[in-house]
Amino acid sequence: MLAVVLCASVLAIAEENTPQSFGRPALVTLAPLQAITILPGHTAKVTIRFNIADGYHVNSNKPNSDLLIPTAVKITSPAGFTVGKISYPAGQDFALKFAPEEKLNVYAGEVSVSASVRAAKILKAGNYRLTGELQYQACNDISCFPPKKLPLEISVNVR
Amino acid sequence: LKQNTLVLGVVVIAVSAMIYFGAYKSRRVSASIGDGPRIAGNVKGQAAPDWELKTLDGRTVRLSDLKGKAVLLNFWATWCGPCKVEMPWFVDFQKQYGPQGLEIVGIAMDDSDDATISDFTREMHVNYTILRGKESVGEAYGGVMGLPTTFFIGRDGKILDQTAGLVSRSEIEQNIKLALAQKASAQAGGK
Repeated sequence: MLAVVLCASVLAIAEENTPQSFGRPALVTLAPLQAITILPGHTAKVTIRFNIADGYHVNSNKPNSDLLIPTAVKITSPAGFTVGKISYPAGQDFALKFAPEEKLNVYAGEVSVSASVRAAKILKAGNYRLTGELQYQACNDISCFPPKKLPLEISVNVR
Repeated sequence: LKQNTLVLGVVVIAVSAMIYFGAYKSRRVSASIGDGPRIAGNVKGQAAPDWELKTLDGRTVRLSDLKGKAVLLNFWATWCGPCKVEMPWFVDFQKQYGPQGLEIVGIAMDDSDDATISDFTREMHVNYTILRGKESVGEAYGGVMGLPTTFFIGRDGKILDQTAGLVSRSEIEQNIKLALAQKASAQAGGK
């Protein structure tokens, strides 16, 4: 009895926290973010990996229209850190069945986005936290779903 | 006795947590639903809920204003590729079937400003009514999970069919013909 009640409670909480839990599985799942270690005055690479559910795609960072919502990573750094260029993979061309002549540029499957983070020379050793978000807008062959933002949190150890 | 008390305490905490999260979830869902009647389950054959929305130039339009017409209610967004595919079809259908009593209404469900939507619809040569959407309208129709989603409303004010996602031009046209074939009733117009 106790186990059933506890399981139900945990499920209720998990469902509440599941993104896009409107009767649909999550379309984009973030892989756990790896902590990074940096020496003061040096740069390290942060990699954000995510998986797009089978049968779905998201616009690439450079979709072929200004109206389409690109996949974008934003990282906010605390004082003493500088976030450099964010590198996105090239997308793949994709056309809808009913409009074969119009090419979209999308990501599907596993995607990795990377960014360089520099720690200032004056930064003291310790643990820090970078936060940010992954923006995407997913579709399948016939439907599109509202744009979403997933929160990012990256642990940084400065030695 | 001590162990029983501990078990009872854990059960009370777990049940409280369930009640709290259940109530929290219920509040969140309720907050996204409009005050009007809401369709539950299969929409086919149900009276189309009335709504009141604004055009891009601020004019108010209600479904009940379209009483006696066949209405194609299309939820779309500027960022939706499949929606863009069917828009030229709607332009053709409005031209062809408008004189027979078809009213196509596009409900824009995106956060873009009016000018962006207006530029987009001008570029697409849209000749039918475009309204700024509200989540509550989608909820009133049983929930719009993805775009495009289209409801075909007969002259009698009842929903004939719903399509989720892009379907063929011929399927849309078939539903338009069925909607036009419905006889208007005294209760028509989303009341």
